[in-house]
Amino acid sequence: MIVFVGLGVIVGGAFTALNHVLGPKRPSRVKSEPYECGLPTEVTRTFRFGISFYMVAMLFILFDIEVVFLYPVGVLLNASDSVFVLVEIALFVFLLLVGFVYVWRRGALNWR
Amino acid sequence: MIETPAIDYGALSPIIALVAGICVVLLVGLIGPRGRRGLSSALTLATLAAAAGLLVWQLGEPDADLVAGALRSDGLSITIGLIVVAAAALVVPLQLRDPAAEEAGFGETHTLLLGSVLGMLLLAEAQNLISFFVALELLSIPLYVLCGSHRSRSRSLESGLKYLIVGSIGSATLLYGSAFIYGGSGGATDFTAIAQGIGADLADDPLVLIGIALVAVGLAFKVSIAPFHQWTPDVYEGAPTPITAFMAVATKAAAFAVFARFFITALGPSADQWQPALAALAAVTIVVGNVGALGQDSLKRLLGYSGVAQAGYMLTGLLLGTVKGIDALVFYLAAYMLINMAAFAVIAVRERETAYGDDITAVQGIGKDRPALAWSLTISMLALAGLPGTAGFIGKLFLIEAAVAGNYTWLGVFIVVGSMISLVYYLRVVAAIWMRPAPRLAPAMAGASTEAAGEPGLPRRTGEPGRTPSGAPSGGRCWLVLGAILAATAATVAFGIVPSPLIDFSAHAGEGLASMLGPG
Amino acid sequence: MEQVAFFAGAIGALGGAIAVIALRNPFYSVLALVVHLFSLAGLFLLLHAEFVAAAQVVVYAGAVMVLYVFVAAYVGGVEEPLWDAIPGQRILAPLIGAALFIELSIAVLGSGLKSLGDEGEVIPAGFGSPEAVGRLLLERFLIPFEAASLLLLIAAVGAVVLAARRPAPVDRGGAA
Repeated sequence: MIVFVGLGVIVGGAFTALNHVLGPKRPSRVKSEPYECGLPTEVTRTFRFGISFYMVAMLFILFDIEVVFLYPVGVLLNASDSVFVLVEIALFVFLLLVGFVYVWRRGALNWR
Repeated sequence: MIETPAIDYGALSPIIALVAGICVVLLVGLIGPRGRRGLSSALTLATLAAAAGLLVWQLGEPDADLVAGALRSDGLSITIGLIVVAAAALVVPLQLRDPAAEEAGFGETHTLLLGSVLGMLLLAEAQNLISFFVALELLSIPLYVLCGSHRSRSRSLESGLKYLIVGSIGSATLLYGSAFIYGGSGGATDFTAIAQGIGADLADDPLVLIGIALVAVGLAFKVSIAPFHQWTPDVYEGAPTPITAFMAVATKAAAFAVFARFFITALGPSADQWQPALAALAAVTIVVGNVGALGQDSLKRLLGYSGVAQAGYMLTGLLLGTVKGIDALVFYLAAYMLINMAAFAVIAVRERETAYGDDITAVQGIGKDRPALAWSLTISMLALAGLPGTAGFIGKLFLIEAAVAGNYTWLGVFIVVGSMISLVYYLRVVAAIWMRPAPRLAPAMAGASTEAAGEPGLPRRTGEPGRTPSGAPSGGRCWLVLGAILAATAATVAFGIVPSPLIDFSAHAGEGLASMLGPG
Repeated sequence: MEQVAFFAGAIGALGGAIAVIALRNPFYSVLALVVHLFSLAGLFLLLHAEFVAAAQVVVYAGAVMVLYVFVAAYVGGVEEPLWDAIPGQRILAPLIGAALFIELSIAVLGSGLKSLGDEGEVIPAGFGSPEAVGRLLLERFLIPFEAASLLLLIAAVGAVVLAARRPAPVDRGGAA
């Protein structure tokens, strides 16, 4: 237990320190502004990037839920040799694939 | 080993057709430019036609429990399914020139519409708590989006948000109530198992009763029964008119179907407890809806309040718990669908032709230059009021007859009094059509002023011919809408004079629940 | 031990839920909601619903909360109230809430349901495991399972319709 905690601290600390030492440093005006929960200090009416975050977060939830559904049936797939189960799961995945194709082709995944 | 449930593909076929249609419409919508209204509409109509055909085929087949009792295909679910599909089919032509559909994309709009139809079909068939809830969400979520799909109008966004919040509260209440019922019936999710679990011992147990009350409140939100109706006028007014029409009609039909099935099949043992409570709600709803509609100038708000009152009438048919009551309910829903679709379609057409939006001014004096629209709206208003010679009259007659037979004569009196009050505001619309002069502002100036007033500085996408919501309808393109309006109106009159086909149709519904229902 | 865990979970769930509506800063509300959801997951564990507890953490405490944080950051800093209070709301709302609470208490306390008083049902082996949930999804609740995937499809379409930018020449910005 202690070994794990110790290893975790050391590895984590090492990567942070390495990042600090090796990482490129390009200070800019935005970076030097005080940090306010990710908001730019001056919120203008044309606050544009928020909606991209929102879109991605929303789609992430949807496909996250898909995984939650797939996990329990995936566990079963090993135990059963029935084609029916496979077809049902395939149908489930297919419907989500249609959703994915739609989201992708509509450009909702593009970061703008 | 998995015990795979038996699947009756025949009985599931309408649902399978809709799922396939959803995928096709969505993917075809991706190909080519966004404004491909023709192809998308044709595919949607084809899907709906296939679903309708399969439903009609199933009407002749015996009733069946489907997929481990999750669904039930019987007279009630099939008749309600047909009403919903017909409503959607009437909405599709109405969306052809709808600015909201143009903005959201036709493929998307039609996918959402079909998704909602699928939810309604599942809801009408749902026979356990889980499929009940999933179907309800499948019905609601597309509608939330569709209400807010006209993003350049802040009223539409407001309507979508309002509907989302109120609808979620309704769903949460319903879920809370079903948890109590699940506990009270000893862990049953199937409707028949719930009835057994409750049995005679727990029929008036407070735990079960509070569950019933919460479920009733949740469903009351969905069908807008007073005092859970406050969202209705606002949402109806703000949503794009074709969506309002669909929501008003189809949501009511599907929610009333599951309301009837759940309360009669699963909560039958407690009928003595919920009947008086629902009767009180129905009476309040009739009064609130009819009084609320009196001072409305916006036609969509007026129809919203009128929808509240109609929900009160329909609830009467449901709570009786008799075959006659259910038949009357389904008859009324079918008639209401025809009448409302015609009325909303006329409003939608005038909304696009004039600058007045859905204000009553928009239909003033249209008797002279648009006689077809004028007559359709007149007949719809008279039918909603329940004047003889229309399907609305026969529907009310059946409801009152069923109420009297079911020992709820006083509710029958409420329906009559409510209809008398309703004459005031329906006739006001009729008077505006025929007796007022047409408003001064030339219709050619059109939507521009209202649209721009709604959101100043909005860059309007002009330059593409035929895209602007303003401007007179470009001749022949509107024939499809006009055809839909005239067909619905003609059916309203036809079923008012010769109601027997619709009576036979609605009789299937009562048969479906007959084993659970009392006679009379 | 079980009692201690239950009360810890219950206090966390109730305290978190109250804090969500009581705190003024939306960020604190979101954090309180996280506490609430984690406590609920703990309560699910006590009920031997391991898979549901895990799903609760993954979906709600993980994904949904991220979205809430985005929204709070997006709307955040609004000083004036977002809506006008309905007259009488401050008095009526607590009254109605209290009435509902009393009704629910009467319902739970006054119930004649037998299984409420004793130890409850015996839990079969494997209850709440992913296999058991998967079995239910594929056998009894096959239709809701497939309907759920369609619901996710529809929700994805809805999200794009409402939130995505239009490829139109005139971009209205993220005002929607």
